[in-house]
Amino acid sequence: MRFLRRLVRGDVRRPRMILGRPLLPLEEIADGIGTAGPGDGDSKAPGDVDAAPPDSPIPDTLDGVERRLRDLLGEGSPDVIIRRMVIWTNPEIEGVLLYIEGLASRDIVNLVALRSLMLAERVPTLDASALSRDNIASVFMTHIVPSGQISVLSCIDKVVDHVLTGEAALFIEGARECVVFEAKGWEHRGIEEPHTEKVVRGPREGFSELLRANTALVRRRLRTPDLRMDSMKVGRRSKTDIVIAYVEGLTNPRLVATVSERIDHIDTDILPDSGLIEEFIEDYPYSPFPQMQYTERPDRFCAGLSEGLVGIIVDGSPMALLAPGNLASFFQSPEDYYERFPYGGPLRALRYIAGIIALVFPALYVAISLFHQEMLPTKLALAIAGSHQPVPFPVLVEALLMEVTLELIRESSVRLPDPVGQTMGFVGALLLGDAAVSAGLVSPIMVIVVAVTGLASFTIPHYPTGLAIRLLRFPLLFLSAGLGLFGLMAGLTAIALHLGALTSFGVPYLEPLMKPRPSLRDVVWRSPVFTFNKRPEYPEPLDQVRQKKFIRTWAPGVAEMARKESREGGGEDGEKSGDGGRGAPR
Amino acid sequence: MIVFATGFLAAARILVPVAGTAAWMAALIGGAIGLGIGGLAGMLAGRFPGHSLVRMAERIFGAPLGKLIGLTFAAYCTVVLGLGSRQSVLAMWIAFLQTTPPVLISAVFYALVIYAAYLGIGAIARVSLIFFSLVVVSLVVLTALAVPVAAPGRLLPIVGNGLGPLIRAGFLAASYAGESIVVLAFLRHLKDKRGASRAMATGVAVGMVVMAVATGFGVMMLGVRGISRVTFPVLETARMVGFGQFLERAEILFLALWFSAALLKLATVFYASITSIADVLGLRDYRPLVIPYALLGTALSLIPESVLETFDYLDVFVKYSVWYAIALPVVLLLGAVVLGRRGGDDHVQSKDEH
Repeated sequence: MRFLRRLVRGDVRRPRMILGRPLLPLEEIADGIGTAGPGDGDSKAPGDVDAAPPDSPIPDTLDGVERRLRDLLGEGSPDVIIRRMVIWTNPEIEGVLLYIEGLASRDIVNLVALRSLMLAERVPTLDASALSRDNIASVFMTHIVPSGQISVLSCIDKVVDHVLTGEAALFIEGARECVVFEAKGWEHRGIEEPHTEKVVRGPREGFSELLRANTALVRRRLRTPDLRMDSMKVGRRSKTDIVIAYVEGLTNPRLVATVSERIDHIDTDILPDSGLIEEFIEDYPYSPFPQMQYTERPDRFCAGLSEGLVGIIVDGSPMALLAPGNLASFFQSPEDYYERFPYGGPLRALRYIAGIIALVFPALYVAISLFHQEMLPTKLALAIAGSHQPVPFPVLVEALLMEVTLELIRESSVRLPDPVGQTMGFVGALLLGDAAVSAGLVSPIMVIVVAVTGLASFTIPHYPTGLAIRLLRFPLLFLSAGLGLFGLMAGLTAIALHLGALTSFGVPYLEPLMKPRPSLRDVVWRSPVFTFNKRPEYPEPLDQVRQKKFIRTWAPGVAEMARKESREGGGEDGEKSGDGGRGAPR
Repeated sequence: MIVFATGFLAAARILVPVAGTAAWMAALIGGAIGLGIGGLAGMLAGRFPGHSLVRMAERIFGAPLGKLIGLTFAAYCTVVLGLGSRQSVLAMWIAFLQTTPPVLISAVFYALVIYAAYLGIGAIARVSLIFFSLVVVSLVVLTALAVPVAAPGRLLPIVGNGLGPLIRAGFLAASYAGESIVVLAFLRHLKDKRGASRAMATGVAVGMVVMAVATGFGVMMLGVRGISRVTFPVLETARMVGFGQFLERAEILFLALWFSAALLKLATVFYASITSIADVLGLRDYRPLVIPYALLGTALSLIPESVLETFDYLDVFVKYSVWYAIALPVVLLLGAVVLGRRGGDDHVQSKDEH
């Protein structure tokens, strides 16, 4: 008790010898304080504690600490572990270890805290009587608790916040501060193949729900020291960790600032997924079209960062966001680049055609069959009329019936487990389609129209874009049924105008499609990778040049072209590639 | 897009009676005059960077006269809007939607124009770029399909009804090219003024070449007499081509595409008009004017009671509007030079600027 009173009074002794082992001088100890690990706004060097007393200071006694912790975390929570212990210092002092079972790894807690604090293995031994209330936690941080990420906090509310993210906290008898160290170790899903962005050729790794695993996946692919990962917390209750990733010197700082500012403005209770962030920060939340890319592929995420986009990773969500987005980006798949360009280009063009089919095909069929039969060759017109003859409904009702049925099948198969969902899809499509035709409820041609539309909508790689197209198909159906092709074009023009007005973080949504040359290079088509000399312009990257203009200088003629251009004063960052896809030397 | 979106629907019907078989050349002459008008407009914009038409006029001639010039410009746009929308609605109604009341078609048309005007010139410009490409592609396809049906001999004699009528028809065609002066209303929104002048010149040139090709093929396929008997020669031309055994009577597809192009053109004219009126009235935001002005446009488009009456109005308009299109930049430019007026950048922030 005398020791405690001395600690409370701040009566500090000079260091001395204990058991013949040299003790570290206090000044030397104090020099190392504050550099051990990442802290937060509340973590301070010991000397600073009195300068700004925290709102919720740590109680003076361990009993008080325990009472306060039980107040804050509740009495009956079995996963909240408050462990009283005796620490091996000379003289021995008491401490309280706080962690959440399940969030903190038992191994880490045992190794870092219990073993290092309760077993006197250390040489030299620490003279606890030489420490004051103000610096004892800092000395523990720098000399005793073996953890990479460690900090001292003086506000008990902040300590609890950290503990709720999986860290562990050590309260030391009489100390004004508490040592908080990294102990995260909850059960989580491993790195698996992305479920929504599968590719035939390309990496199989996908993001998981664990923030640190996701940031590591990004770091592994982008090893530049310029990669920045700014950390934020959102959610009054969930206190969800968010990382804003970008490449310094490449990403436009205005874009980074805009994203950070918008996230900073979010004031909500909980944030279970990145989808909510998207809605909070996008320019036009009432638009049916998504304005940010999301991906569960680290390779795609890193490709986005390398183009000057800003990435957002949310703890607990396997879907990372990329900003800004635009219409063209939603029709791109990583596989476009992983496959050789002769296949990548046509496949991407096919996707755009599929997008148009998915949007307009049923409406076009309704318009032609109701208003413009003269467009069709006689045989086809007769075939359509014949197939529709036993159907008791107008074409619009028939189309709506099939479209709604298709949506039902799709929705039900999405929610079911994979094998059941697939079976459900087949059974639903076959049975309902065939049975509906046999029963005379729909015509066979309508089944074909709806099936083709459904297939086309599945080719769009970005799911929300597909959803937007599915949604807009219905008003177009009504317009076509009312005004024929005129109605369809009116609807399409309205959609086009809406898209023309949309922006994502200030960047026009149709931006890349507006410029013919980049558009043909890597928007509606995919040219060879060695022609991608410049990054896309729409995120306004600080560094426009992606690669050298002449890379394949070993190919016949290319080296001469490079030399010629360099003689003429052409830079390495020219607008078009001179490589021209020359073949390998014979 | 402004130049030929509605123009080429009926241009042949107006040019052929005057120039005969040389109507296609009249379109080219009109294009040349249009380029001249565009050049004058570009010089004016270069002298008054960041100024709207009304601001330019006010700076040159003072507020009262400047506002009056602004109102004449708005009136010009209103007539272009009324006649253009009436033509587009009629083309749809006559050709394909005869059981639908034209008022309903007109209402849908104006609803979209209002929507476009609310979104602003940025959205209209971006979408126009897409539709412009589609319209040009559609016309190239149509021309390619029309080659087997066309009879080049019908273009003879090469100068048609003579040189005098050809030049007269050229000025009629120039009234379409002269519509490009509407861009004066929003040149201030463009960052790249020099690029804007170039784009305007390209637009006029491409538009008038397309009009020349459409008129020439109209003559080759329908003949001079045939053209004088039909309401919209381009539509009749499109009716005569087919996609092999796959699609017949594909003119509806073309018309649907052109309808969207016409809509965007008229939305641009609508926007130019209301922003000018807002400038005259000193309003910071043009949006309160959108609905009242749309009602005015709809009413104006319903004044012609029949198709023939619409064309009577159109005949009068194309005869005189070209002189307004020439006079406006000439008067402003002369006034600026004589009075020594030159503008700094007084770019007025509006809610529409993107």
